[in-house]
Amino acid sequence: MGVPSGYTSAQVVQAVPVPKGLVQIIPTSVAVTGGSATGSVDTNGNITFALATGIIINGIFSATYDYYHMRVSITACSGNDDNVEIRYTTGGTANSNSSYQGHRLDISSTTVTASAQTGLAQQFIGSASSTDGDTPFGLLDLLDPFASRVTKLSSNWYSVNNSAVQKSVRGNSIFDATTSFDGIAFRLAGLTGPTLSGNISVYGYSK
Amino acid sequence: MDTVNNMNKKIDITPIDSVCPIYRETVDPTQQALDTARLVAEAEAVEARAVARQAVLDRLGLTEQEAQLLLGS
Repeated sequence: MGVPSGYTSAQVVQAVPVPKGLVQIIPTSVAVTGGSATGSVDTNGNITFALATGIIINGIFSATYDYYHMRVSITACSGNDDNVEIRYTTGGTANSNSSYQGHRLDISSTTVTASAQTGLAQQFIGSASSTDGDTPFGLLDLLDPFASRVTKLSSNWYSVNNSAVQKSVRGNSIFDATTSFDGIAFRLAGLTGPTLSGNISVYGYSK
Repeated sequence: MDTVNNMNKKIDITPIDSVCPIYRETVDPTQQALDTARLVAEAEAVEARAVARQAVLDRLGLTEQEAQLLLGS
C-alpha cells in the first residue's frame, strides 16, 4: 500500500502501534546443544525442542518491549533432580559473569526452604527428572532484559522427581549489571549430559 | 560462556517447517569442565552436610526419625 496523500512515510509508520497486551515473539534463531538435539519454531513462534542439553533462544528481547512472559513446558527429560538454569545471552553468547543473584523458595514435598544467593554464574529456576513425563513446567516473567538496566526475573517451576516427590521453586532474581540482552539460554545439569524435550513460547507485553 | 557463537561450530539443522534457523552448537569443553566441577562440588557439599548432620545426631543419640519429629526436617 502506498503512502496516502498528505502523509509522509514516517507518519504512516507511527500510525501503526504495537498491539496492546501480550504479543507472541518469533525468535530470530534457536540453537540447541546435545548430540541428538533437534528444534523447530512454528509460524506463531512456538519453540519445540527434543533431547537438548541446552536451548539458546536468540533475538527475542528488543526495545519494543520491556516486560516479557515465557512459558516452558517439559514433555520428557533424563536424569533425576538435575538443575534447570538460565543464562541471559547477547548475540547467541551466554553471559556467565558472577552477576546473578536472588531469593529462592524451594518446596520439597511439604518442606519449605528459603535461601538468598549472590555471585552466581547462572540462575537456578527448578529441576527435572526422567520420570516426570509431561509434568515439569515453568512460568517466567522478565523485566528490562534488553534495556541498559538491571535485568529482573520472577519465576515459578514445578516438577516431580524420580522418588515421586513434588518440588516447586519460586525465584526472584536479578542480573546485577546493566548489560543489554537479546536472548536467553536454558541449561540442564550444567550441560553435562541429561536432556530436555518440550516447548517454549515467549511473549512481549505492550502497555 | 557455554556455547561458542562461531559459524565453524554451528551445524544448521533447521527443519523445513521452522520459521527461523535452528543450529546445533557444540558445548565449550572448558565451560563444560567448569560446570562438571561445580556440579561435583555441589554434590560433595550435600554429602558433607548429610555426614555432619549424622555426626550430630550420633552425638545426641537421636535417630533420623526422632530428629525429624524434633526439628521438622
